[in-house]
Amino acid sequence: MTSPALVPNAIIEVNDVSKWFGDKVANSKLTCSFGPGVTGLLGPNGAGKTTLLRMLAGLTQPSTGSISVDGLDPRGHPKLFERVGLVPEEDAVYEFLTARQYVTYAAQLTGLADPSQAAADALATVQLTESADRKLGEFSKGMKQRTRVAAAIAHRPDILILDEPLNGTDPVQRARLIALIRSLAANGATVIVSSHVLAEVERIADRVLAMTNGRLAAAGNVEAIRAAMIDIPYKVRIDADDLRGLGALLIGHPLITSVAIGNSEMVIETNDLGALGRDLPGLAIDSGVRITRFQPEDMSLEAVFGYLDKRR
Amino acid sequence: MTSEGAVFDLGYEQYRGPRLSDRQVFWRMVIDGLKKSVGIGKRARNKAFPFSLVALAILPALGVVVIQVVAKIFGLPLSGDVLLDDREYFDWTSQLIFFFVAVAVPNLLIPDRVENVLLVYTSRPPTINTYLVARLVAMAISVGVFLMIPQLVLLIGEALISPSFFGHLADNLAFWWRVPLTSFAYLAVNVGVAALVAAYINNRGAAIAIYIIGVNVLNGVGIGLSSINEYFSLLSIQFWPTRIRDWVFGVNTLDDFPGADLPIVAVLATTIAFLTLAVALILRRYRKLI
Amino acid sequence: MTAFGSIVVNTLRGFLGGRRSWLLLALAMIPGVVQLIAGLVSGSAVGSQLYEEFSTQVLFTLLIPAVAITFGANAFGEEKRGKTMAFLTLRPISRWTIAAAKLVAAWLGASLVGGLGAVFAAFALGVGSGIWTELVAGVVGATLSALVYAALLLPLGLVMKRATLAGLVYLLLIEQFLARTVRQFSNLSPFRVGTSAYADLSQFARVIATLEETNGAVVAGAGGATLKALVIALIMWAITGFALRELDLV
Repeated sequence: MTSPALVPNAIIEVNDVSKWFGDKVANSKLTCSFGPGVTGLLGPNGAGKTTLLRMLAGLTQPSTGSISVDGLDPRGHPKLFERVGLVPEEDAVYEFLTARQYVTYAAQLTGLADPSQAAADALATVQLTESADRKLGEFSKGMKQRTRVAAAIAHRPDILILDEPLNGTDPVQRARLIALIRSLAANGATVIVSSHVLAEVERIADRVLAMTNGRLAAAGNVEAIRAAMIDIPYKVRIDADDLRGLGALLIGHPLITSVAIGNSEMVIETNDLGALGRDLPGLAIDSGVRITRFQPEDMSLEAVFGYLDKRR
Repeated sequence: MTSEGAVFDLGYEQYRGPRLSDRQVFWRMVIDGLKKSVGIGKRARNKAFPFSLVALAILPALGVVVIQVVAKIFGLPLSGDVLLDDREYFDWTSQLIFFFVAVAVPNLLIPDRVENVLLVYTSRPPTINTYLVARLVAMAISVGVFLMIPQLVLLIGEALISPSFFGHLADNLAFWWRVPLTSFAYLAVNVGVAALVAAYINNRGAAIAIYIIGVNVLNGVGIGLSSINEYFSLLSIQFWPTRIRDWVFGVNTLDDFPGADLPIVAVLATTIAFLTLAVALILRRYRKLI
Repeated sequence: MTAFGSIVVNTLRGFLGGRRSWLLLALAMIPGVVQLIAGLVSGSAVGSQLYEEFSTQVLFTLLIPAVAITFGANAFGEEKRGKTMAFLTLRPISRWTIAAAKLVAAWLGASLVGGLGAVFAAFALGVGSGIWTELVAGVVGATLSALVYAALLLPLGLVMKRATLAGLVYLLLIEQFLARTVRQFSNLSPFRVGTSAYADLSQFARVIATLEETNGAVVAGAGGATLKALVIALIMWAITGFALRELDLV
């Protein structure tokens, strides 16, 4: 079986990569790949996300293992960067430049024929046209972040690496940036977004790579990762007009591992959510109980990541 | 408190134990400053620069002593010119303390200011004056020790190999006022200039560079303008302690320097006036901050 | 504009836009100001003596090196401190081009600031003493001196946090102090490149003697100095390009 960490149409391949700084191991034996669409790189601070992204961009060299972008080592093949855009985690811009000068500089370095037009387009994409001629030193954190995104997309890259791209942005800007990232991916770009904010990743990414302690903890979409946790039963919250009657039916049912009945609701645990979903309506009809809610509790990314983090 | 909710005092108990006296607090701050000035409690690389300067300061003194020991053992005659005396030794150590002060003073003053630590000091009984005096005393002690240790190595080393240890010390009683006085002149001028720069510049690197380049440029300007009038040589800041040293030792080694013949009163007055102005400007700066 | 030109222009923007450059320019102008005052107050003889014994000394052994050290060390130093290295290096341009552009920017910035100092000092000499021949010598000397120091500090700024300070300590401790005390050190001092070109082109017969008195033997030769400066720049460019390729840049 192919590992869920690998995708069939991979553009970026990470092969058994480890990276250490002195005696500190930042990444350990990572094997994964990235293809078109948005991949969310998820993990708490210090999990090794930024180091992995820096290696993908060729900024730092793996201690062991190899990385290829479109079949080439990102270090030593600068031509690759005609196709790559990076927004690093650091809140770093040239504060003495205006937003327009900054994005134009980025476009010039990428060798575009009309850098001024490319910069104007990119600034319009991140809604910064009106502030384009102000010095970056006067910008708020969110505006700087949008300028950096504009600089990364000015040359219309088909590989975009974004390290914590929504840092410092307000809810409206956040929604716009998420829409922008999703539209780039919809046009066929390979987008990698790192974040330690689960809700962000859940909204942006089609696929998640979860990291803890420099290792890959899980890969796939959220439902698939949750389904792969066979040692952790699903929690399901159920409301019904006769909780005690339903509870009596479920206790001892082969699919149910535990039943907890409260005043107005019941929480059950099961190892096979799909089978329970099929069986439960029949049971309810047979016993004359009306079920008003059937809600899996731990299908969210937050819950899944909580389980992954506990396994450290 | 309302009928529906209440917030209770959890009984935060103030510290009621013994407290250090003001004098003890002051000396704690001095010791903290001393440690910071030489990088104690920080990474090894922070210690490398000050300690290598201290080593450079002591090495020639040890070398002089060793040469004399070897000469004595093998009965070799030594020309008086080979060896350094205490006055000449300042030519070497004064250059080293220039760099020591250039790095140590900004390290001592600037981080407290730019990282807003000053409030931590001044929200307690010590005032901003106590803080500044403690910092300057710490610098004075570390520079003073820097200048005195190699001189003591030289004196004691020579005393040990002389026919009479105490006889040698008795012959060099003047050491005990000349060397400390000269050391004070060097440390006051160097620390004064560096502290003035560090009080007004918030970037450590810039403060170090401005001090190093500024003092050297002023030396050049002083020499340059002295062709118009020799009193312009007083612009050369490093000339002041060297002229004071020569006065203390009763010699004139600055023959080729345009201000060599200036009356010592003019040099002393300039030095004292500058130091007074520096202290006033530093106090003004810090009082505005707090 | 090409990527090379773009890096040069934007690095110069960063250099010349801040207060630091104005401060350095003010420092570089000091010999000229002193020269002007002395020449006007004390007459042409004092003016020309001052030019030989003070202005050239301070400019070539202290101010132009200090300016070039600052620009050379900060060409990459500021990118590292400002965490903008990724902006520069993740582009479809070779690391050799980046190194060359940064070297040229540091050299142009230092030549501009240091050269203005030299030009102003030569101008002040002309005003005070009626001697207008030193302009070319000053500019050539300043330009070569700027190239050598900027090149030497370029890779240091890439690998060291406090490269400017290290360069200044080297300048003051080794060149200004040790090289004057132990003459053998002076043979290794890079300031001799600029001064030997300057001495060759200067109309003052005593310039070399004056420089030698305080800074050790100086052999006059603008051609040799240019060659030395170019070789040093080439070596430092190669070292920087190699470091950019091989080092982790974050």
